[in-house]
Amino acid sequence: MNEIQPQLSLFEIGKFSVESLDLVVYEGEILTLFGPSGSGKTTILRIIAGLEKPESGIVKFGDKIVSNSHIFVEPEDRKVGMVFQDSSLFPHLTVSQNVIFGLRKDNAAIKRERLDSMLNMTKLMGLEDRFPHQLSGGEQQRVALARALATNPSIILFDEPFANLDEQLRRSLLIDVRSILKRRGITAVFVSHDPKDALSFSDRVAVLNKGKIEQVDSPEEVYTRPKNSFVANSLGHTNIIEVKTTKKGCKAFFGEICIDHEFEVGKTGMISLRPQWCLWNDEVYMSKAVVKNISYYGSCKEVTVKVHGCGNEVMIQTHSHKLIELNQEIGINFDIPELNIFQS
Amino acid sequence: MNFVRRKWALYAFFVGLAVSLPVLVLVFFWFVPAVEWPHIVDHLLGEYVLNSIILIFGVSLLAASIGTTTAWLVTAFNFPGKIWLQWALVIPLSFPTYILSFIYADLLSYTGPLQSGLRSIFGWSSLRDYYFPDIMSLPGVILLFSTVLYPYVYLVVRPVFSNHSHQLHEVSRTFGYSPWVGFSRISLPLARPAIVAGTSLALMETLNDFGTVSYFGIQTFTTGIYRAWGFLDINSAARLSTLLMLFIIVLYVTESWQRKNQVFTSSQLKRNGEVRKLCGVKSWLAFTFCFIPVALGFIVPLFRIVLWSLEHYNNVDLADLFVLMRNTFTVSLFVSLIIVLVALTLSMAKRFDSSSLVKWFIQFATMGYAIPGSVIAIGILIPLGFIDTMIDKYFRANFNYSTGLLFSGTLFAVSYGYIVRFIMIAYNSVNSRLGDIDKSLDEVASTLGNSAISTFIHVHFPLIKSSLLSAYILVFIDVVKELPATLILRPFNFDTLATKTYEYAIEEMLSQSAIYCLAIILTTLLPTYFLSKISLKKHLRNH
Repeated sequence: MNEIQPQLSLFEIGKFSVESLDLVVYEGEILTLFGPSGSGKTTILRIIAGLEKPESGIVKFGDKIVSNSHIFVEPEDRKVGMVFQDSSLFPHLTVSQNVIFGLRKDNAAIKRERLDSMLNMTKLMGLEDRFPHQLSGGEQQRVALARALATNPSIILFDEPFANLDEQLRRSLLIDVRSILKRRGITAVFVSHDPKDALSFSDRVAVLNKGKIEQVDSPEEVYTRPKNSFVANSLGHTNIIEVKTTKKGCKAFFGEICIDHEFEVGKTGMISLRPQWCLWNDEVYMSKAVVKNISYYGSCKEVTVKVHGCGNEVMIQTHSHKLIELNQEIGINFDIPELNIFQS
Repeated sequence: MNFVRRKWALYAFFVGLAVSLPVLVLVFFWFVPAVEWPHIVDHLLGEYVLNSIILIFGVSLLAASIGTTTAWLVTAFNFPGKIWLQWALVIPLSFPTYILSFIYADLLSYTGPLQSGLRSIFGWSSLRDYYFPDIMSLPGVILLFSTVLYPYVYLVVRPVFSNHSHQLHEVSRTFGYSPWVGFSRISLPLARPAIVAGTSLALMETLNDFGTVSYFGIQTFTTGIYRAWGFLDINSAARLSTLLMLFIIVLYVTESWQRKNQVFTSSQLKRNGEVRKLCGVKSWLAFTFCFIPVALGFIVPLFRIVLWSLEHYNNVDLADLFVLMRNTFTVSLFVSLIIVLVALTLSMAKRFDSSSLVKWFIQFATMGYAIPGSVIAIGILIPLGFIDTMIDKYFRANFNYSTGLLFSGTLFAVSYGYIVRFIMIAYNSVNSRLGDIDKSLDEVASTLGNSAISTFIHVHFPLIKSSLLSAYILVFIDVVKELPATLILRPFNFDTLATKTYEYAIEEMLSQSAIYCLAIILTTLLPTYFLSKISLKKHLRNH
């Protein structure tokens, strides 16, 4: 089997807050640039599209350089598709005209065929003759997606495309879009500041902070084994806990955990312990604790407890139907996947 | 910066240079001694400045009030005649200020029909028996200018009201506020940038006027410039011109500074709501308020002109009229096209190269509107005359052949003057629409394989078509009406409707000029009607 080739490579890119950034996106992969606002994710996306010229560094599509200090391929010659946050449909064109906008050089038969397949795929049949202002937000974004896909781009870029939609619609669109991309084997770069979107939509997630990539890995890896507390915190509630490394792994306030690590024995490090790995169990437990706060989320309860002895506050998760009260004394047990120890 | 690669910046630079050349030439005269200057400063400048300031304040207050109130009435309420008034309110724009002044000066004079009528009704025998305000005074000029210039405010403000008012008014009414409170606390503050923009257009027209103030004998900058120019004191004329420009620059900077902090966007606030229906006395008050400006700015003067024309139609030389119409039309249609094209390319330059450098060049390129036509004409004649002399000298020395005047006193010079003077009108109209188009549409188009030009053809052009047409019509109307620059720059024996009208008027042969006035009015009326339709259509589409 052939090795999967990099479809897109960025080397030492510099622009605005982005400093000397390296990133590789492989063929057919969906990569999410995830981070808070101002972390440089949209800048990177626009550099890939050619809408911003980097101050330094190299951008390659496959083996072809599209941007360095001498070469700059204009966006219209890059063959990337882009879907913007505010759909950016052409207000004077109908749905069909918007979708085939990028196919001007093709003949009518190709346009017709491509239009049909795009409308089918994005479930827009019957809306061909509507104008953008006659569509709902979700439909507008579907048209924007169809328009970007119609030209068969080698890479498609999403700039928080569904951020303005309500959560339910966003989830269902994300599932649809992911299946379309996967079916057609299209490489995609997606920008998001929503951890759920980033984790559910992508093959890999690049976590950005102040123009630097903190970690690029699969969703499971970044969520379970973050490389630092920024990555751990940005992807959801967590307990950052101090540990001492041992031969087998590390020692936390509740006992020893077996993990492979490269630290010297006896060093201080940190682990990210997600609330759902900390369980309430009054029969089998590793620590005793007192309930300090309870947050109800419908699907679960998140409970902050103060651990006896060490005084650490830890967030645990329980079933939402379980009755629990403030100041109740409970036992906590841990069901921990393989973790990563990182420096404090 | 690699200047050569920045084609758009380079283009904007050349346009800016060409358009600002007449102005730069005038500035140069500050470095040449002017003998009469101390006299002007000591005895005349104070009056010029004071009168100009009073004029500016009066016109801005009155024109802004009329324009804003009428715009609000026709957008916020339904009342009898509203549909008709909506476009009729624009029509006074087709009356050149100087023609209106000539007509009212005659109508309201001691021997005019109004005073004669009053005297015969009440049996008064002379002015000692009654009081009648003198129209040929500063307040009279303010009133006349406001009557013709308020449509500038009306045209800019009406779309703002119709975009904002309904939904916001509904909100304000749910809080228990009356429409008047809604108007003063919501519509007015939201429309303030538009009101200021419209009023500044009216003010520039005010400061440009020469015909009225000279006819009424009121000393302002423009009459001062003419007087100095008439005495062949080019230096003082140039210095006064630059002072007037400085005056206008201060106004302009204040206006744009004001607008900077006043950006209101409302993409979601476009839902159409129920327009309140006025009944009884209120509806008649609304109708009357909107009808008075139309009557004073159009119906009455038109009536007067038609009467004169009927009295004198036997004396009209039709061949002469035909030549005048042909001259006016060919020049106006052609020059307006060029102006719109240059304006379009300038706003494209701004869109494709948004650097502050390009913005500066465009500032230079569009400052001509603030400069009175006579000043521009002088600024053009001086360098063109110089170039003509140089070329002539060269050909005489090398080929023993005299080229004569190649540029000055030709249609080229006239067109140049119009371009300098009116490019801003076209630019503002085109650029405001082009600027409204979200930048991300360009980015989408370019990611879909479109070059800048292709994006322009397929995205921008369809979206700004109607603005281009508005710009063309606006410029056309202004070119047809333009007087001072045409008077100075036109080729020998080349007359337009405007110059002919003026010539008759200053010779106190008003009634003979009526037919030419009528031709100007009719020539501008039709395009004004279209303009009003376009802007109405635009606002309907926004709902």
